[in-house]
Amino acid sequence: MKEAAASVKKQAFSSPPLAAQCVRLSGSRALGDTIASIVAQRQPEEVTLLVFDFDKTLTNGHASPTSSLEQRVRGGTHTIEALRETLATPGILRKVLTARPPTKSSVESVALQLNGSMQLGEFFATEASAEECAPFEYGSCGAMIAHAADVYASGYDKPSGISALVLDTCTVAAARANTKVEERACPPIRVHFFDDSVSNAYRVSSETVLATGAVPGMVGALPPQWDVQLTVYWWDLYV
Amino acid sequence: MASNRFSSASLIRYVEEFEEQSINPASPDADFALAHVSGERRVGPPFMYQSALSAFGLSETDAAARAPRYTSDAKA
Repeated sequence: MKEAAASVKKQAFSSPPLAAQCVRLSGSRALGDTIASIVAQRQPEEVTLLVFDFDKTLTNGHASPTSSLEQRVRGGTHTIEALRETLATPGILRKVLTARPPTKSSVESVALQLNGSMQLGEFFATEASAEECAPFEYGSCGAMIAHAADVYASGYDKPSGISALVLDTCTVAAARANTKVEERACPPIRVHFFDDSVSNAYRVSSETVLATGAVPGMVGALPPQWDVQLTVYWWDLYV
Repeated sequence: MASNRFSSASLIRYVEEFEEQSINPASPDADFALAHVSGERRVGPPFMYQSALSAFGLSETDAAARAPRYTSDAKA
């Protein structure tokens, strides 16, 4: 499946952008409240993809291990409790998509912070080999992405980051499903992307396109035909 | 390093934004932080910023009233 996904990643992306719903969030409890609402409303068969920008969205910026929870994590205890609630549901996946440069050192740095000063390691897988962390070209327009397990870095090309995340989610979800290869289809995917930058959020809402070609080993697998819905949340920093 | 790339005025703003963002300028992520605090202006032209605000339900009047600075929940 890894080889299949790699072949798709090299394709030209000519499909129209995904239609997205834009939602503005405000206030320190907004992320926790929204996650709780998503968990409550999700359908059992769907894959729920929660994608968080890192700096100033999931976190409050620089913090030391001695910083308080409220200083480290934006929304503090309320955010943590909502994230913990998602752990109980296998169909909910948590990812980080940072605007840091798409390099091995970027994803390793975020992984280090998640597991260290931010103490958020229980919510995100970060273990990956050096080979897996190497940047790869996505699409035919030169977009570069690096990732270590649940941590993705795409620079400011976050639309490509979301597209790659969806592709990875589809291929992994289909492979894990207990079905024969010829019966594998992409499950409904509901993507919820959170960012503190209105420009990044806007670009994701208006420029995210999926690969156009078939994914080997999956039926009905033309990505534009996948049931993917995108909701973009701008978590406003202004108070 | 920064003084090679910025005028005095922009360097002052850069330091102020660092302080406001609580990002440690001495950290290995300082270069990223610089890009990030300037991200709203760097990501796209001004019309994109206005379009972005509008897409998320803020009118141009609302947008114009917003000072070009950042706050955070941690400091609220």
